[in-house]
Amino acid sequence: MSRSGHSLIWLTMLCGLQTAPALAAERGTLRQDTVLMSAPYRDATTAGDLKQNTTVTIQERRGAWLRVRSDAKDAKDGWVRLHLVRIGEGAEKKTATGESLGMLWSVGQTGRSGAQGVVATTGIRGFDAEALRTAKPNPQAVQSMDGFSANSDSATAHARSVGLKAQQVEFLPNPTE
Amino acid sequence: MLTISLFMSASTALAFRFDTDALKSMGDKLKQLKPVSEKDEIALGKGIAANLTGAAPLVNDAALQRYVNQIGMWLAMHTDRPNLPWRFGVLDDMMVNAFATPGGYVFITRGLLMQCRDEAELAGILAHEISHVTARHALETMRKGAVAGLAGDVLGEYAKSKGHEGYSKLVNAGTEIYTRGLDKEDEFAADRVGAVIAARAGYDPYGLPSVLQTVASINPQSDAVALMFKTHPNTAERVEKVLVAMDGRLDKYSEQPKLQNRFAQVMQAHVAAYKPAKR
Ligand SMILES: [Zn+2]
Repeated sequence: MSRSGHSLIWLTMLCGLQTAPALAAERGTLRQDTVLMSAPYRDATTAGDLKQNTTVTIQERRGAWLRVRSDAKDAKDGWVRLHLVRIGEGAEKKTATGESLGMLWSVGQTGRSGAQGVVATTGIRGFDAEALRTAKPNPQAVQSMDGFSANSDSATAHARSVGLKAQQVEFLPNPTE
Repeated sequence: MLTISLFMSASTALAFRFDTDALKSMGDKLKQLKPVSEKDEIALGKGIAANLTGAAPLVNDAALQRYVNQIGMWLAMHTDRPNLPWRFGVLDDMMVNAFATPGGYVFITRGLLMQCRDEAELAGILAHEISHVTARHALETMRKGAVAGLAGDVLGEYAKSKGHEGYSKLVNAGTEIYTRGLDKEDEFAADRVGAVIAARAGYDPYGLPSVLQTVASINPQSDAVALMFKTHPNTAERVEKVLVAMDGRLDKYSEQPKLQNRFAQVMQAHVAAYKPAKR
């Protein structure tokens, strides 16, 4: 089985098939026993239930909801809250060493199999606390960032070119206060 | 002890010795500290950014860097600090993380960028980081001396003298925050504000909880998430909390664009031309 549903998105894209419903391939595992809803609303009618650790295919994402479908013959299909699904298949296992998040595009070449949904390890030392404590400052890199910077005109054009529309939205209150 | 290790690790290591009396007097001074000027804030942030880019180089891909800057600037324009000299950078590192320094330097690692499904998820991450800047979370953490009793005092001294040595001390004290993390409540607040900024900028604001949910699915024992998980509250808890805060308030913006196609095009081009940066 492929190492993760998530990487399949990229595989699909990299094969030039980005018009395919890329997210359809994404797989997940239920974090707990879950009641499925027939629509992405809290007061929707229920559409069955699934046990913890059930593997599902993620069909659709809408707001705080995922539409999932179980693998079983009597496949159940319904909406669950986003946080109830872990991306990837199977029970969480210890890190499979040698796999790197960034190598998603090479999955096809290496044909490796991952035991868990989203595997993230690095063979080389990455950006950790020690690397930061011992870092030699690189002011030239910071200076070079000026060359990539945007201004409000360019940013507005970049946003408008794909139909992003600014909205007036109030800040959210802290629910625990 | 914390303070000592902080300065000993810095390149400008100086032997700081202090006793409890000195700490107490600093505590008194902190209460009178004036807010830091925006100019000093930017100078401090620039120094911290140099330390961050010293730990991991920028991705050697101008098109990708420009793309992230366009999105970041568009988001920043929907905050109360649109005129900061906002700079965005992708760090060539497979660790999953993002950072923001005072004054508007925002970084995302390539490792985290690769986890994003679409532009709305990337925007959610950038907006979270932008919120740390606009709310001056790192700066206030320093000022309150939460990282090191001395930091606030150094900040005051620097404001007076502007000396090079004071600056270095301050930058190194500030950098320490990025290994320890901010207050949990600052993180939850940045999630809530980040979702709002994304909605204001016209994105599906569920990009942030969506990518957080992916990060929450990464094995916590993976090296790639060690620093991020150490410096942030539990990711699954973040997802739940931000969803609760968004409920009934941001749902109506969930049909705004996710921009999966534009993101895919940029990432395809990036992946095809990728050459690891020199360390
Ligand atoms: Zn944060």
